[in-house]
Amino acid sequence: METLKEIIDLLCGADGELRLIIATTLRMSFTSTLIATAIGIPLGALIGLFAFPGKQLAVRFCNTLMGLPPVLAGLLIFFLLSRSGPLGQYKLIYSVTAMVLAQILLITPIAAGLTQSIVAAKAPQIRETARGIGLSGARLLGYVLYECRRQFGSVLFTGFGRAISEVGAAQIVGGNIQFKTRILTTAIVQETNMGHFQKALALGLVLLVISFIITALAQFLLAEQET
Amino acid sequence: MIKLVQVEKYFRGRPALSIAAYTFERGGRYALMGPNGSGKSTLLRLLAGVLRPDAGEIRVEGLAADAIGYMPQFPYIFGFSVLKNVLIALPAGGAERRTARAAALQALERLEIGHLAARPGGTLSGGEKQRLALARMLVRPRQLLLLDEPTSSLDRAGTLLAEQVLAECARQGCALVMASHDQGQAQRLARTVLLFESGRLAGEDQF
Ligand SMILES: Nc1ncnc2c1ncn2[C@@H]1O[C@H](COP(=O)(O)OP(=O)(O)OP(=O)(O)O)[C@@H](O)[C@H]1O
Ligand SMILES: [Mg+2]
Repeated sequence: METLKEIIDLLCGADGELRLIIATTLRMSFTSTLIATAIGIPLGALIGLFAFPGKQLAVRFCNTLMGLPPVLAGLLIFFLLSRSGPLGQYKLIYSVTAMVLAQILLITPIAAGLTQSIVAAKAPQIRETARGIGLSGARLLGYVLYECRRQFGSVLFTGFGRAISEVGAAQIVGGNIQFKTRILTTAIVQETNMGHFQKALALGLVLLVISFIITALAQFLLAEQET
Repeated sequence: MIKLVQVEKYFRGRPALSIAAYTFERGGRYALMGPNGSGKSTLLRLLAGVLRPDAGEIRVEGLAADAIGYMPQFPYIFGFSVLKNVLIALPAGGAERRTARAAALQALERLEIGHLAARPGGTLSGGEKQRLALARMLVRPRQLLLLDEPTSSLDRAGTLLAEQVLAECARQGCALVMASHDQGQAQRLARTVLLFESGRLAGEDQF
């Protein structure tokens, strides 16, 4: 009950901080998921569909990166973007852009790996048929992507779920700066560390509800497509 | 037209096909017969270039790649419309673009599934899928058709229709190499019957 009151207070608060935190969370998660899947899905489809030297290696590399620890991804982006790093001149460290970059690094291999296994399941039969009618290259890839579009929906949500719930990388490259890079997960960590368990719990519930709404919405949209 | 020399194909170390020497002649009509697992599909896949031989050589002479059509034993039908399933066998751009639709519809009509043109591929019955796969192969002029049990799901009328269509192609000079379990079909369509047993060429009949 008190948690609920806390949520309402936060949502309606005059300073609107929670609304800003939610907006930042969504912006970061959506942007990174879109970019990561736009790269990962075609890449995974290429690996899954075509036979080429080093294919086994590519698959293994992808699967290894799927399990990349977020903290490590964060550290990597941190080194790249920090003032003395190779991209330091762009002053991106502790920005939402930096967080998006870290999430892209985390989600792209997941999107590629999942797509690879989805496409590889159909690949032999499709490849054989395509060969028999003289269909190849980019055209073939395009049709295969279209053919698997429904399963790619779940790739998108897996990526989004990862982005919205991730804390380690976001903390390192975003810095949890109030009114700038604070997102739900990093805010929860902060409130917990400060002993504000009630507030942390309230934020946790908000995160849960947002994930639930988006997943439900997505499932609804996908189910619509089936009919 | 296609010459096989000392061709060997293994799966997991077990020999699936072994042919010392054989030549498929231009305009010839061949039926591949033999029990399940005797190597018919493996030979067709080798001829189509889907598989590479583990030893020996397959020499294709005087045939452009797109003059060869191959229909697998289980063709893949895409989820999009039946018409589009045929269109994907035609070149994407260029001058043919305008005529592509008409050509695809005509190919469907030839196999008497013109009325299914707008249906999603996934909703077809087994026999309808096989007719679609045949239409898709025949939408372009071919000089060699490699067919893996092309009428296995067709009813009596459909089988005779498919045979008519294939005979028509053959009359126009297209070579046929076709796996079949139907002795009558082999005699109706082929001039040469190759009998396979455990991956070896066990006999050859000419009509
Ligand atoms: N991808 C594969 N992996 C392992 N073994 C295979 C593979 N493809 C074929 N084989 C084996 O090779 C042998 C020849 O198979 P093939 O498909 O050529 O037979 P077939 O004559 O076409 O039989 P059917 O009449 O049942 O279609 C069989 O023993 C089969 O089990
Ligand atoms: Mg077979």
